[in-house]
Amino acid sequence: MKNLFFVVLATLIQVVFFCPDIDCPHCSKKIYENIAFEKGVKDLSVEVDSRQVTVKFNAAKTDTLALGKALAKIGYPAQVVEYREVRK
Amino acid sequence: MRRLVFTLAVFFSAAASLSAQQIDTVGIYGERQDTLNATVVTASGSSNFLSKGKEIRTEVITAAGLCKMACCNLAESFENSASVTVGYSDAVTGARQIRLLGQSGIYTQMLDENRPVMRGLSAPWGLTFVPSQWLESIQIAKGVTSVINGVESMTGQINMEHRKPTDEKPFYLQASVMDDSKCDVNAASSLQLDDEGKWSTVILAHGDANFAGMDHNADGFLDDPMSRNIALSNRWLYYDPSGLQVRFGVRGILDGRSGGQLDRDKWRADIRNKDINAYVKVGLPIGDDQARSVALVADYTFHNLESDYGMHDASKSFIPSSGREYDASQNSAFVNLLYQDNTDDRHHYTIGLSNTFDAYRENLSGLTAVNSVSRMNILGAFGEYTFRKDDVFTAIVGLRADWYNGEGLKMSPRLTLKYMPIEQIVLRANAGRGLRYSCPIIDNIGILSTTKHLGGVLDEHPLEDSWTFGANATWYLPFDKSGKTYLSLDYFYTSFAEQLIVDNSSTSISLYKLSDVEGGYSYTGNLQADFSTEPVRGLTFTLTGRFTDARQKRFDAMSDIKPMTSLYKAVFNVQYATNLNKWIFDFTASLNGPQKVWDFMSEMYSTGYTPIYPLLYAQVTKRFKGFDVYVGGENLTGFTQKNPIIMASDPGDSRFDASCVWGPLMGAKFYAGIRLTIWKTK
Repeated sequence: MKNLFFVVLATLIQVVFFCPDIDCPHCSKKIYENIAFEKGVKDLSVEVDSRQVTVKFNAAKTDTLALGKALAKIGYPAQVVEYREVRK
Repeated sequence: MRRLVFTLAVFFSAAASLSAQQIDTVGIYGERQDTLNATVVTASGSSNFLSKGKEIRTEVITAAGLCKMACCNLAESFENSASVTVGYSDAVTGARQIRLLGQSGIYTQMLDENRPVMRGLSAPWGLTFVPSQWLESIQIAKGVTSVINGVESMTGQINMEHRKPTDEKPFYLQASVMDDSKCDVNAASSLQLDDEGKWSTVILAHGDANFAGMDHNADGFLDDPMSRNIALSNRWLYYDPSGLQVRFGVRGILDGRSGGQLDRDKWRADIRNKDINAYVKVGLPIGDDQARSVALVADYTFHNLESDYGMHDASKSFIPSSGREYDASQNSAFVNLLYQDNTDDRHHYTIGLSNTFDAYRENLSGLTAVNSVSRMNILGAFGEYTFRKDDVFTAIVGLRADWYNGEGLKMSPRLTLKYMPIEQIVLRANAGRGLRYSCPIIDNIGILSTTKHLGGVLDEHPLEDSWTFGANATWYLPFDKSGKTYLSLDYFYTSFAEQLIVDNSSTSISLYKLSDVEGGYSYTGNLQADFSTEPVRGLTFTLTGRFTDARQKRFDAMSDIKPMTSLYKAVFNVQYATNLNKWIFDFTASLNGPQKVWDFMSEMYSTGYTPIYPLLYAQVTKRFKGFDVYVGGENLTGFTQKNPIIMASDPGDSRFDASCVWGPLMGAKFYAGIRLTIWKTK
């Protein structure tokens, strides 16, 4: 019950990172295989052409900084280009 | 840097192969794509799909597809495919054989990143020598394919893409165990050795073993041989900023297996394989725009086989008078030199020279004696012209002129057409000639697992000659946003002008040439339909059906229906992956149609046909960061072929025959495994 209450109130954030080092489909695979399993990540897509990574996450479990660090750790330094709440 | 390496990989692939054979790069659980430059929006992934971009009708089994079954080896990777049927060559050795377009797998050319492999001695067990976990994807092309790698692809071509040196995975480990005690371990390590990305390498290791002997049908014979197999491979990539790219590698295999009666001092099949392969591929772009290129591909394989099939005495020594001992070795070399010009967007051409050399030493003793040394050489020149009008129309015309020693000059034309009148419809057609030297004993290795009299063409290598025609229509239906819904229909027809025919009767097996049969003919027609859809994200349904009409005129046969060839097969697969692929559920059901049995088996099969049987497979995978855990089951209905060994009660009888296998030898099997991946970090 406590968890349900928590989920209902959780804030879902969508952040779009620009990763200049994305340059091939293998990059998207690597990002997907790693970032999808970061705590709090609810959805993820990677677009090679625009070099953008879009992440939806539970704000109670992670934040933009942690996700940016996770991207940098696997070789993709990232800049936030869009940040918005998609659900409260 | 990665882009440069990747671009070069594209170039090299193009230089070394026809554009129709270009690689689909599909990652584990990654979304499919039909071109190398396609944007990847990663989501739930297809595991088997028909490629939209390729000129030849090509089914792609992705890395996700390779993870679907227990998939210890390549043979098991085709369980989801209706195009390819996998069966045992016999009931004792574990040798697996595929069938494509209703013909034996020997008429399907196997490629390892566009190098012909699994030829000759390594063919009977070759499918079990390739660990699925070494592979990134498999492409199954139906019909005649490019002339660039020779014309041994008579019914199709299967290309295997291995894990790449440039993969940013310094460590990968997979281990699985089945309830029958079979264990399988694979490891891979891709290493980039310098910051410039010039040198990279991948080390691949494999080991499997089957420790326990099972005899579920209580016929006194092991259902699956006890076995030990280790394989090691090291592949390298060097690229220079000037454009030069060199790939080279080595692979070694040691395989030992022992099947036969549970009492190990009785009838046994003992087989020992050793295989070494080395290759080098060099690609060099020419000119500022690098639109022209030259490439050299060289490959060498040595294979040694020692085997005996028969009774053993108390000291476990083989008794020659009770069976057959077959020892053979093979030295093969393949060299291909190509020049490719892509300077014009519409007109591409490739020309080249090639040489394929095979030397066999075969010694068959015991009930049948054959002692032969044979050398086959194919020296050829080829050209291939591609006309491409945007994405709408492509025509590929290829011609080879090959000098076959002992057979003379043979011309092999091939034509491929692809037409996309609208974005949602793809029409394809291809036609052409195929030629290959047959290897009577090796191609029909199951004949050694009998005590029947063997006669006919055993020490010759007749040149088999076929023509294949085929067409495919694929309609991409606008039922879902992902564009993954399609309906595909294809028909292929293969007719042989010359073929080695095998005739099995109650006490003898004879091999002879089709041309020796008055009014002889041999052909197969294959009709296949495929439907795939993803109605909601993560949920994929695939339904495939195939009908085969295989006919062959043989001496004294009561019917011209080709024996031991299934008349139809249907496969249904459903896969559901939760968001971010954290759970993956997979279920496959197949219905395997009847097969006409040999005339002498009609007493055992009153209708003259084998029964229809279903096969069910299921797997559940849970994925965590860096590792997966999976459990699954195969042949869940537990269906097995009754009495797969004829005269199992008396292996000394002249009617003893373990080669008439049409169905599963093992009942339900369950397995569990893990996959561990460590990614490169900065």
